[in-house]
Order: sequence, then C-alpha cells, then structure tokens
Amino acid sequence: MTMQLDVASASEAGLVRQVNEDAVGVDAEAGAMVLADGMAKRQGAEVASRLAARTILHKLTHAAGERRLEELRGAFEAASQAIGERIARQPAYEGMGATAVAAWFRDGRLAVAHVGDARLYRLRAGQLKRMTVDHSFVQAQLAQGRVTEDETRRSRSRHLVTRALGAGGRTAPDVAEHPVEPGDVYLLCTDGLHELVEEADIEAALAALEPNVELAAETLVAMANDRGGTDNVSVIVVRARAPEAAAAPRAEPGLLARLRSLFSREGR
Amino acid sequence: MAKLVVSREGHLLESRFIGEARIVIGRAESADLRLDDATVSKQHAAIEVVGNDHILRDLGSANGTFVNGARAERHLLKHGDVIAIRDFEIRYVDHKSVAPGAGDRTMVFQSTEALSEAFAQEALDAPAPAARATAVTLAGGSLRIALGPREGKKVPLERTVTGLGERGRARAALLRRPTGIYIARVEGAAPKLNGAPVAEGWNALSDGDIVEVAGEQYVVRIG
Repeated sequence: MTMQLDVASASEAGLVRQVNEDAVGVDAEAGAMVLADGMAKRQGAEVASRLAARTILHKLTHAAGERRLEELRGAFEAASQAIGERIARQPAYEGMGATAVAAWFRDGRLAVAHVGDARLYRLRAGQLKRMTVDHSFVQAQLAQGRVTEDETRRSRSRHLVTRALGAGGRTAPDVAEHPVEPGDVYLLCTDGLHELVEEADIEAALAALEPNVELAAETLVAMANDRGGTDNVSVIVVRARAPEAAAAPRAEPGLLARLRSLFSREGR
Repeated sequence: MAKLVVSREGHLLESRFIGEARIVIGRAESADLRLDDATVSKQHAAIEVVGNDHILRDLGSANGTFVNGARAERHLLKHGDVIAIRDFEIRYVDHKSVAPGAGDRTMVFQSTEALSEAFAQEALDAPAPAARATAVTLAGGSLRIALGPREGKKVPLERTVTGLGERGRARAALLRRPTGIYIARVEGAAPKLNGAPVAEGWNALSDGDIVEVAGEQYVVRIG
C-alpha cells in the first residue's frame, strides 16, 4: 500500500530556558521520526537528547523493517547504551538521560515506541486520541485514583518520570503498532507542549490547520510559548495523505522545510 | 521542605515539617498532629504525601475542615494555604515551591512506588495528566458574516484556533494570542484581508477588518 506522508517539525528553547535540550530527528524517506527531551543531574541534557535521537533514527533507517516492534525496542536499547557509554567516558555527564517518542510508518502501519512523558497523538475524523501512556509518577497516581485529573494541573510531581533512556532507571520503551488511514494526522510532542496546551486546543489546532503540516507545527510551538513557554517545546506533525489529494500538487508554503516521502518501501 | 505552622487565636502552638509519612490531624492521642479540643474529631483530617504534593483530606469530621475560608473535602495544598479546624489555624508553608523555576526540571523518580506504573499501561483511555494551570489571557473576539449564504451569522472564536472556509479548496484559520487575533492561509487561495491576499504565516487583525475566505466575507470584532 502506498501512502504519502507530509512531515514538518518545529523545536524551540521556549521563553524561559536558554538552551534547547530537545532533539528532533526525521528521515521522511524511511518514514522514521523521533523526538527526545534531555535531562541531567549536573550537565549533558542536550548531549543525551541528541545521542538518543541520532541513535534511534540511525537504527530505524538501517533496520530491515520485518519485526518492527523488536527493532524499535532495539533502537531504544541502543540509545540507552550510547548514553551509558558516553557517561563512562565523561563522568560529569553522570545522571543524564532522555525521554523519547519514535514513530515509524511503513506498509500502511505505524509502529510507535516511547519512554517517559514524550507523547504521540492521532487526529482521525476530527478527534484527537492520545496513543501513549506517560511513564510518569503523576500518570501512575492518576491511574490509581490517588490524584484527580484536575489536581494534576497544580501538581508539583509533574516533572517526575518513571522511565528514561540512560539516567540509570528503567529504560524499556512501550511499543505498539496501529493501522494508518488516509487523512490521519499524527503529532509527536515533548512535555513542553502538553504541559501547557490543553488537549482540546491541540485538537482544534490540528483539525483547522491540517493539511498544512508546517503551519500546524509552527502554530503548536507558538501556542506553548503564548502560555508561558516554560520549557523547550518540540513537535513533529505527520499527515498521511489521502490518495486523491496526493495526485494534486499543492503550493509550497515554504515556512519550514517540507519533507515528503513515500513510505511504501518494500517492507515485507 | 514543606511545613505546617499551627496556631490558635493568634498563639503559635507548634511548627513541623512534612516528611514522607501521612499526617493524621485530630483530637485522638494517636493523632500525628494533635488538636486538643472537644469540638475537633478524633481523626479529623489527614495530609497525604503523593510525590512532591500534599493532599489534605477531611476524614468525615463532625465540624468540617476549611481551606482559605471554604469547606474542603479534599484539597491539593499550595504555599500559603490556611487550613482551619474549629479555632485552630494551620498554615502550609513551602517556599521552595514558589521559587522561580521550581519543579520545571524533568527528573527520574525511582522508588518501589514508581513500579506501580506497570498496570497503568493498558489504560490508553484512562485520563492523562492535564495541562498545567496557566494564567494567560488570549485576545477574544468574533466574526460576523457580512456577505455570503450565511449572512448575518456570528462565528465565535472559542478555542485557540478556529478554521474557516472549505476543506480541499480555500481554507484559512484564526489564532488567538495574548497580543491579538491572527489569520493565516491553510490551503488553496489565500484569504483576503481588506481586499488584499494575506502573506504566508500569521497576519495580525484589527477590529473592523474585512476578511474574505472561500466567497464569504466576515467583519472582525476584537474584544
């Protein structure tokens, strides 16, 4: 099955922080994309996120694509190892790590993996659905009914993740595979977005702005900054183009680098 | 570290830090924070420790627990809250939480409690942590359709982004920001602003501007 993807990404330091510790990797040709959000005890947050994004993207673009969920797990494991090896060489980096989410489109299917609170959303028929469950303390408390959804808005535990690449704790990603339908829009984002922008606003923005993925990506980042921009914010917006839309060439808005690709590579 | 400062009629009784254990407040000898008065229930209220948060719960007391003057069954404590139980006043102090940048940095949380996340994994439909409470005011406004099949109708700008026009043909969107309301082309022919096509990206609108999208004309109302 051939399906064309429109992909755009945007990543900014935000309004408060000096350094962008997020990293974005996209290989539209391979249908592979990853976002990582670095963290550190002392230093190295941006080192960890770049290592994670680069390693995961490299592994996915060089994978056979035959056992995708295992290959995704392997790519995340490799990223964790790469961070670990870097710490072994430079002890000042001890405690650095990254949360990450990766999406891999192939053969009309989407394979997704994540650790920590980086998320994947899907907009289908105007409805936004969260496709990942955060590995975070607050998420676990919420699932157990120990805090309410409303209390999470003011919680001081929001920044506690229970899994991360490197960082010395649990590193295994959750992986899943989903069928892709023409017209689906996917959003990968770091907590800099969903921490500040309500899901209902993300839904309205994606519904109104697709198929212009560049405008959607740029606008989501602006929405986070308009709400304080307290963290680095990174997004990747992906649209699986409907076959008839694929036939009609569209004007190039040229706001951000447009990346298009066939994700119909011979899979299996 | 957060602490509780207990007073009665203006007299300081005690001050104590909140550790990792739940604190039961009441008249009973066994209470962790003892309020010695017949009108206080034996186990009146409790403060639960959930990660970095402290949640106050009334334990079905006869005379109620109040926070900042309002009766509370359950309340997520924040710096400066005043808990009132009869004529006792318990002030919740947590200076660290109000320091600039507090609680923004992502950290790995490692404890046996964290392992309980495992069972949450099946629950894709379970609620997710909501966006943080922010104090931001976005510009508001509406559009009145001045020309076209829906003439006279009003389009309220409720969400941050509102779409206009026709899918697959000429589409535009409006964006509410703190600094005003903006319009952008989404697909197809660019929307017209006071007769001229708009530039790519977001263009600021003024009150009374005329916008044209897919054959409909709108008058912009800001505020």
